[in-house]
Amino acid sequence: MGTYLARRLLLMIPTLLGITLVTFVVIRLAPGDPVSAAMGGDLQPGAMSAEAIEHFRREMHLDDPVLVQYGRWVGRLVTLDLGTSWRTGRSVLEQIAERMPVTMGLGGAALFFVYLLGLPLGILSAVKQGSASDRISTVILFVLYSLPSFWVGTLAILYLGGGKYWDLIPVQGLRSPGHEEMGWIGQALDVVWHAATPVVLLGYASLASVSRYMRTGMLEVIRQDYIRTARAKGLGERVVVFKHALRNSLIPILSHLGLMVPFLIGGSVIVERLFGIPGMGQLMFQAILTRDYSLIMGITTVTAILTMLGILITDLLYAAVDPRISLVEKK
Amino acid sequence: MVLRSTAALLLCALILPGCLVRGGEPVEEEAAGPVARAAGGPALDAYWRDGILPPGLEEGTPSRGGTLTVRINSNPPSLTYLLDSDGWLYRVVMHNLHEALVRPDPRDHPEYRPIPALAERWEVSDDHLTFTFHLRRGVRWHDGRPFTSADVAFTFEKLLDEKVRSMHLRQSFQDLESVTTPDPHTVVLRWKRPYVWALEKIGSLPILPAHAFEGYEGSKFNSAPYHRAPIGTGPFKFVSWEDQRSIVFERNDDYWGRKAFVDRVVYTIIPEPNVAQQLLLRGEIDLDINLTSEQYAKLAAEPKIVERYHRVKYYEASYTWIGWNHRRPLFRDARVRRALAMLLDREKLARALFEGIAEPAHCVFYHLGPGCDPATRTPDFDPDEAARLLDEAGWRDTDGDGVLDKDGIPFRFTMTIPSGNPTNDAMVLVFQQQLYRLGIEMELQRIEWSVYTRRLRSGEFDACMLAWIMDAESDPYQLWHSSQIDGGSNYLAYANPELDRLAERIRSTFDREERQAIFRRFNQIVVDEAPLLLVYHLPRRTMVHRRLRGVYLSPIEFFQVADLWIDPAWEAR
Repeated sequence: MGTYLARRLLLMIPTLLGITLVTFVVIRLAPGDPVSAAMGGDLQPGAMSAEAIEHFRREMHLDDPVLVQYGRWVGRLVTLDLGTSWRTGRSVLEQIAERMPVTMGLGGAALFFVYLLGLPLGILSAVKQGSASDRISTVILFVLYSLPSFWVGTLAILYLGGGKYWDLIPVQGLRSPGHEEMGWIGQALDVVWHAATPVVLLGYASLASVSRYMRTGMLEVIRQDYIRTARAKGLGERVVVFKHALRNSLIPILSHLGLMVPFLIGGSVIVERLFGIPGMGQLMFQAILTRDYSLIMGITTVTAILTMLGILITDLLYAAVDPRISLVEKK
Repeated sequence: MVLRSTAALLLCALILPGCLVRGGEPVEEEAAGPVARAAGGPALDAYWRDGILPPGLEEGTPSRGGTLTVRINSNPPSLTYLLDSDGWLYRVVMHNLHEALVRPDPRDHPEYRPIPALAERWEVSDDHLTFTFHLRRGVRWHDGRPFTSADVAFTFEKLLDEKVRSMHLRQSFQDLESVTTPDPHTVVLRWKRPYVWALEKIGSLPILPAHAFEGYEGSKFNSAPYHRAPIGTGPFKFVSWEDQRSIVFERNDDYWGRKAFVDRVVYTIIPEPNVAQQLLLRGEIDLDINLTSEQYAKLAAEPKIVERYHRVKYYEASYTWIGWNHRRPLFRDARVRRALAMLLDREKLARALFEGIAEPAHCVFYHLGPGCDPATRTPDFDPDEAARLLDEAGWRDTDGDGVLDKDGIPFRFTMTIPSGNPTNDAMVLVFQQQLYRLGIEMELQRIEWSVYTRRLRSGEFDACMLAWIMDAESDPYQLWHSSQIDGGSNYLAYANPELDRLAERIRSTFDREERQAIFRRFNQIVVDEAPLLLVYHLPRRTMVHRRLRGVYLSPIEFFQVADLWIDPAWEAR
């Protein structure tokens, strides 16, 4: 187990280098550069004089060969220095640290609700395969899956966000204007209240995939001999399903969980923008638009590391759920 | 002169004073009762209909207190104008906190001449080379430290420091020879050659506190914590800034001038127009300067909006244009360029795309200022005349393929526009159709902004589209002088010896009247030669809460937040 873990962790290093090298080269090969992107705001035409651009490129070392620039970047990474963002002059790590908890909190809550609803729905569909309830839930879930979140989000804001129609949901940010004056219980409730709609928007589309995974897994298991045996020895349906079938049918869900890790860390540009939430999605989106190279690289690195850790944990969990998988090397 | 993406221009929006000007002529509005009714909507008075402020908003006894909420639509990268080229942010937000030696007079529309700010008075030598500023005494920074000439010297030093990211401002000060401080209350600036807008440029440079940057020398200046929590000398003090949420200021009770009336100003950051609309419907925003054209028109049908807000539109110094790359032989003939200009139906597009509030442009300077002659008009939409001009220039369809040609070359070109702006897309499509009818093939290419600006600089385009945002009086040199084709902002590579001569002369013409005459002559040549197609002036579209008093329009300088107060009696009415 220990050697397995060590090997996996060491393997992450070349993977990380690969990911960052590709990203580094691609963003520099992409047309446009930070100077051109900076022309988006008010700008004196003089700022874009050949001289100013020349100076800027020199300062950023943009004229060195890409591999030399990459080498310099890796050199700094080794000392855990992700650099400062060109656009805001702030440390990249600081910016990520500010945004990551928001995104992971919302993503985690979304994931929690998706599993809370999706797993029972999947089990129900499998146990009552072909019944009316199976079909109805399938149709509803697929309709949800097909609705784009920017559209649903806009409708929610226009119809439920006060103003002309119902005043049911807050539409901006994660806190009310008077948040600072509330007690801690009030503050917590306030955040939950504001986060509810974004969480629903983040999650509803995944309900379909989770329940489908669950349904397939369950159907596969439920047809196996040991289940028939369990039924034959007179166990109740409830015991058969929840005690004997469930654990084994959860394995496909684990691979689904592994797939959700990048989503958890990456955030959603659309939902974050609609509701004015300062998360990772918007940060990355802005960084790309403004060609903020060090910020793009920083986010890529952190996301890559966390994703690889997430996959590693998933793999370890496989061993925990499925006795057929063993991480201990056979002697 | 400043540049903004057309995309940003349409997403964002800004302001105007005294009377609103329509079609170049001031429109005097009579006070009027209900005169119009939007379909099924509430009764609208003439002010609402025409988008002007009713008179008398400046009268009454100011009352203190309350929180003012202003919507802004983007999260700034930092709060220091020296580092960020967003002049608009400075006008809307930061000039309430930072101050310069002089400032443009917000009530002096449309000229905005400089008035004293941190400098109490100043002298200019007869050769226009030496400016002596006498600083106001007793001014303190928000942290209590005294403001002195050392701060001014520090600011100029940083401005000119190659390591500091102030390229966008540095250009205007390249002829600055020296900054000396004979005593703590005097600053002397010397220029290498006379520059007519020296004082205006000084007025655009907010002074920074030298003591706040100890330990942040060299390029570390760019990442000093100050840029996220600034201190200034202005009527408001910094309280907090949360990314994507809000920037909060509170009144500076030790301000040297007349103190502000409201306790707090909250700049709430809302990029999404739909969200802003909800907050307007709830009456939670006092000022929204970024309405979309559609919102400007449609919100008139909402009783909750009409009873709570004044609707205002006003023009800052900006125009949208379509440019022809003069490196291409296709656009060398002025008759062809004039013909192209006659094929864009600006009146119709303004109605269809901008709810009728965009005005066809006729001038490359501030169209409400004295530098624009209302008698100088760009040609109206006229396909017949355009066809005649093209024929005269030798463009005929000789091979019968439906496309005009001359000397075996077909009339085909590509229009490059920044992506992500549906309104511009629609406009260019209409233009494309009109050209097609006359046998001109225009292909469309939409590219991302950062790539687009790069193409502009390198001249890799046939035709392009952009909006300029300028000062009340702006220097045409960088945009029009032939020396600016390489490395400057004359992206169209248009060279005209007469314009060169005028652009040079204007920089050393210190007589205001004389200068305006040159501006007018300059614009006449641009309109005659049509090196670019002047499209329209798009106004800022604004909602001003009716509870606000002390309100006056200052289109280029935004609303003066320090002059506003909240009418405590308003809710009761």
